[in-house]
Amino acid sequence: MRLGLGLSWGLQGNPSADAPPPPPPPPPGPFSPGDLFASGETGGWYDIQNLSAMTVGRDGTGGAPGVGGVVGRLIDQSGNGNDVVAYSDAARPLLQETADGHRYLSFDGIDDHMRLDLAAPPQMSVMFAASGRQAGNNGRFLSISSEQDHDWGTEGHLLIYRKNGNVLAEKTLETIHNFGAYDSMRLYEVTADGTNVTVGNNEGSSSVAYALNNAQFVFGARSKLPLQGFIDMDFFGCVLINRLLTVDERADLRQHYADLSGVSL
Amino acid sequence: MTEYRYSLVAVVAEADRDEVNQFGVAMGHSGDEFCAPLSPTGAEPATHYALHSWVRDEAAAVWQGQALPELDPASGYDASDAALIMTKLVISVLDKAAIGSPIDHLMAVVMPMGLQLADGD
Repeated sequence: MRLGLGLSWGLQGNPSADAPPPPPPPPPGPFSPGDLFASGETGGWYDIQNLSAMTVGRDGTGGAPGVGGVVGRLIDQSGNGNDVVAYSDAARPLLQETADGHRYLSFDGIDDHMRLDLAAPPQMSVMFAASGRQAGNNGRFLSISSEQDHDWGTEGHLLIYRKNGNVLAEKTLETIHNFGAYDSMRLYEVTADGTNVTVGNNEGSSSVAYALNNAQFVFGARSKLPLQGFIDMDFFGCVLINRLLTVDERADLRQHYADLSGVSL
Repeated sequence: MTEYRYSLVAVVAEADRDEVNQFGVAMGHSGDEFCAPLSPTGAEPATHYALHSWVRDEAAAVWQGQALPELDPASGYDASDAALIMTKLVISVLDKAAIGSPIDHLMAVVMPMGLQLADGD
């Protein structure tokens, strides 16, 4: 790469000493999760702070919800059209706002849940910001399930765990048949042939790669299909993307969701 | 727009669930509004199902039998059917400020029925 650039300079000649210097590159703007999708990545991005990216009705009608009202649909802000939809009218969570202006969806822990059917790519990363209010849910907020057979085992299930039982800015991903109440940050990877391989550490990574043909992501449920074990939680946002995130991207996302959820990292 | 200021809990026996859900479709809801499983032991199989929802004044009046629901004319249901469906449900509508949490509200309804959540976990 460097050789190629050098040759190009040589062919064009050196710029004149009198020519004005090229303008400096613009400073990077504030990070947005949408930046992660700049190369056409698939997945979804859902931030509760953005009222225009939600509707009251599950079918996209009813306009933007007001604080204190129900939310039937989260519009995918990544541009991929992967909206997350409440399972039923009764399953719609409530839009709430903290005293300092952080908006979130309050899931009632009884039947509230939202679903996303996604043709999942071979790799995917998930960043999820939520806070649990229910003792005993072990910090689980999002299930990723498949109703079809695949190489994972008998249940085909991933769950996200929260950090140390506190209000969290991020969570860990846990793989099938490994439902322990972890209280540290871990990163797991499932290889293409379904072999579970731990590739992360305890420093706060939050990506997972998995092999799955058609996944169903369920926000607000902690158990396998048919869905049971709904979660009493406050949900601030989520990114699903079809690649592993870099260390810098994970740091940006962590900070983004810390900001959205009012958490200091 | 009025506020969602009521907490609604409704419970139906498993045997009546399909019929009640079908009526719900006529009201413009999904066909699976009751999806919280309940049983006497907390284990499967579920004997009853519950829903919890936040509702506004208009819906609260319907669920309390003080107003008739708007029904899809093509559904074949009428007001007399609404009264029959109501007899198949245990319903509680309370002011949001009075319930503590939704789970508190649910438990206050189902525990006297000898039921608890069968959460499969």
